[in-house]
Amino acid sequence: MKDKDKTYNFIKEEHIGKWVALSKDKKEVVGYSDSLKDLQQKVGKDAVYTRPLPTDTVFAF
Amino acid sequence: MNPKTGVCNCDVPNIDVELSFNDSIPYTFTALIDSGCQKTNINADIADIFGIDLTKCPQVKIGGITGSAIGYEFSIDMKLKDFGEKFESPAIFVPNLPVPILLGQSNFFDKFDVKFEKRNNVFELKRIDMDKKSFISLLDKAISSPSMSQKRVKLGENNRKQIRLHKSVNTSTKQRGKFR
Repeated sequence: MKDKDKTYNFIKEEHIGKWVALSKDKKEVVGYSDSLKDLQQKVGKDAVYTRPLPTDTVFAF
Repeated sequence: MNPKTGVCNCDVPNIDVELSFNDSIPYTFTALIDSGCQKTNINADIADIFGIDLTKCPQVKIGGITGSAIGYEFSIDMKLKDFGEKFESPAIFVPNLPVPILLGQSNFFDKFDVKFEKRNNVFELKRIDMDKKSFISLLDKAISSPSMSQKRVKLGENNRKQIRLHKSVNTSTKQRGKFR
């Protein structure tokens, strides 16, 4: 569990629920935005796009 | 981890998926493997960056345990790194999906065996739909890898049949990922 937590420990509160662009090695956030389109135009294709889930919610997809 | 809920939302089977449409520039997204999802769901924002007009797509009602929504059916190309060629994936584009992609029964689980090993915090993927041509293509790409070359040599020494080689390539597409 500790290792997993380390994986995304750079995700901050302000990133939750937004589109976040991670570096290709997924070691840092290179940008974030409410709009994927805006983020994509700013960051381009050399990123991994994600949406961090809030931790105060239990999800059942 | 949230101390009240005990939830660490990195604690889920995520994998990176490359999406493209009509040979467009591919973009990489994290995708959550969800065996309870009948069809692959994709956040509708993603359609926008590929110039897909969802208003022209067939609508479909999406049901979840907390309600329902309207989604849009459309097929997009999907590729998983180290798992062979891209494949066309029928999907439902869903507005306000909390994650970029949910990989569902159709057609992700048709193409991959998925083994969850929660107690070890790993999951295992194995592509199962590759035809002979795709296997050969994958083999050609993998041949520069020392471990892959070694396997091939070993197979040759043992005079095994191509079907055995076929199985070997299949094994090489099996990967273990960490829950994150």
